[in-house]
Amino acid sequence: MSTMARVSPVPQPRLLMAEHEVKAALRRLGVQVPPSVLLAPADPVPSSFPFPFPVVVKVSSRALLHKTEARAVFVGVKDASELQAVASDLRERFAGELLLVEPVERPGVEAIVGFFRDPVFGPCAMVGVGGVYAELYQDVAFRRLPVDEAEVGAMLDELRARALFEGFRGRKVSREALVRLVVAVSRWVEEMGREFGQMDLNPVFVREHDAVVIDAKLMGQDG
Amino acid sequence: MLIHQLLSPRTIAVVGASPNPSKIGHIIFRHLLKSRARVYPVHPSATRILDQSVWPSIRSLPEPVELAVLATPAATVPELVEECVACGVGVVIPIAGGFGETGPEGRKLEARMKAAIRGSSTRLLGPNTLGVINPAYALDTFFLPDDRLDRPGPGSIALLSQSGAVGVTLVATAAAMGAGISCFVGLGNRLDIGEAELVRELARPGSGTSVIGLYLESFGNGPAFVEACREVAGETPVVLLKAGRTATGARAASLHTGSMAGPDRVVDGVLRQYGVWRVFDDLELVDTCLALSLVRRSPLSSTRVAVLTCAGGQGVMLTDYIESTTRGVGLSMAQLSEGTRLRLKEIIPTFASSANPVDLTGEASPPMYEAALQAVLEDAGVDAVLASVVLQLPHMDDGVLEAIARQAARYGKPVVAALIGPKDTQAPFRALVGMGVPAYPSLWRAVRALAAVLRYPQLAARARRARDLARIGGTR
Repeated sequence: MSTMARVSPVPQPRLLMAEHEVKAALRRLGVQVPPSVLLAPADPVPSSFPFPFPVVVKVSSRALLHKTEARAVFVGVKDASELQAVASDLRERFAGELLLVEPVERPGVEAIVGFFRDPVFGPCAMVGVGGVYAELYQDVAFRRLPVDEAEVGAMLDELRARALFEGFRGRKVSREALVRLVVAVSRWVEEMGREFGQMDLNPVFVREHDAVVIDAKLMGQDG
Repeated sequence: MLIHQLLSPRTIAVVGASPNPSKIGHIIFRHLLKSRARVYPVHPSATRILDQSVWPSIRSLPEPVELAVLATPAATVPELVEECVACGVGVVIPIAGGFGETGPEGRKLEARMKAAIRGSSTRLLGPNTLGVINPAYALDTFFLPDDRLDRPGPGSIALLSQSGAVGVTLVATAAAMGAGISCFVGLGNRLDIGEAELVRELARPGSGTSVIGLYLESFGNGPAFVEACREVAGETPVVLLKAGRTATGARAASLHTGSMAGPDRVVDGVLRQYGVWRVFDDLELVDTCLALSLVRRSPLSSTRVAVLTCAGGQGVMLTDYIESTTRGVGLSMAQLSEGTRLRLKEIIPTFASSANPVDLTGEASPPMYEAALQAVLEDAGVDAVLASVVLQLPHMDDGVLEAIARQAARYGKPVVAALIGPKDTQAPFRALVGMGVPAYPSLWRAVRALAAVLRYPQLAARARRARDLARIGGTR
């Protein structure tokens, strides 16, 4: 009777890890991620953290691919009372999920770092101009894994906006930190082997002395 | 071994050789009779073809052959391949189409051929291929009559093409320009022999190949191909025209990375990484191979180009093509020294320009051109010269071609020529190319070729570096 029953299920892309798990793994690689506090559903919401307000609060779940669209991210929560309100809203809409609280990081030049499985060449790396306009500019370069620091440097040299990562208009940027980050994560991708499908690190804030991963998504192989 | 049997076999069987001059089996046999191999025509009933004794089958031949060309329809091919394997034939080339490219029936034929050669010493090129040309050995399996399609002379460019028709274009273009080839290989359906193996084989020292140009629509085995290129590109440039750029691959696009990783963008990055010079049309493929095969490539860090012309307009356009990063190659124009400019003033008409681009004007003659070319080549601030000539001028003649070749040979700096609009559209190009200077009938093509010559060394250095890293890290 139900037409729904006859529709074969579309294979849903599957997150291999929740954001806090990806970030923990990145931290173990020596890749910089924001300090954070993870709140279980029953945990009381603290009024202070090892970092100052304002903070970012997001749902960290393997079931949630597009957090922004689902209104599962709040940026710039300015004090404890606002945090209480945000937390109860999120807990109401995303029952049973973990909340990840992080400081609002100092901005930098926004990069996107990605990895994927190319049908011809196998695991590949992508790096380029990140942030919300990443897909608009499409200013990215690609390589097959493995890559070393010289190869990632060559990728950055190919970008139309390569000057961004060389300190455009006096802005101090650690191109080296970004390069090291890409190489470190690429090794992890290789170690994951068949489990690995796709990874987005976007944005990565590239700053004067470091590069910090603000958002991270890791998917398994489809199908 | 493979290359030897494929390109300079001592013995060849032409199966399907025909007494009928309009049949492809006849044309192929007629061409192959001119080769340095012993050639056996095979036909079930004919007795004499072109005054040669005919053999009824591969089995009946007086000796095992190194190469068998099958000029028979697709349906007959699997059984013939089995016979070739049984007789120990080195390489089989089925010319016919009608295999995997047509559908499930054709794929069945291919499966049978694959099963036949598995575990044997017999190799297979194609099917669905024009086969091979090796001018130095007068080997030519093309079924296009030689009075309809000019073949290139012997040289050091290896041309490989997945498509027959594009292959014909490449061969015709090379022939018209006087570009010599070490071989042409039509890859066809790549049931067995593929581009990765050929790239490695052709780049071996002593193979007579100095540059490899390929036309591909897909990679038989992408990783194997790029790794082969990385292995050889440091010494033997690999130039690739990869078509099918807009084909959309089925790809999970759920993350930003997946949606931005269009198949061609990935190909582009990987080719750079492995030292492959990418081109985008058939003329550029032949032009680039010609330039890289002729011009000594020195690893220059600076690429300052001097331009010599007989016409102001050409100088203006050449400057655009050389300097522009959006509609040009993004090289820089050389700043001629005061000494060079004074020297040029002695040589060229008083109203001509001694600054780069140097304009000899319509007064240009071969001696004036040669003296001016020598002056710019001796300038320490010049890394390469784009020599443009208007052969139609009253004081100009073919002597200028020898003058250019003479000066180009003296200084070891790359010189690329543009000969615009001569009445004879082949002879001057062949003459200059024959003397070792790449020459083109268009300003843009000449600039593009010069850019490849000047930029290739960087790519080669990267390929060498990547190769060394891969060797240290073990094969991946």
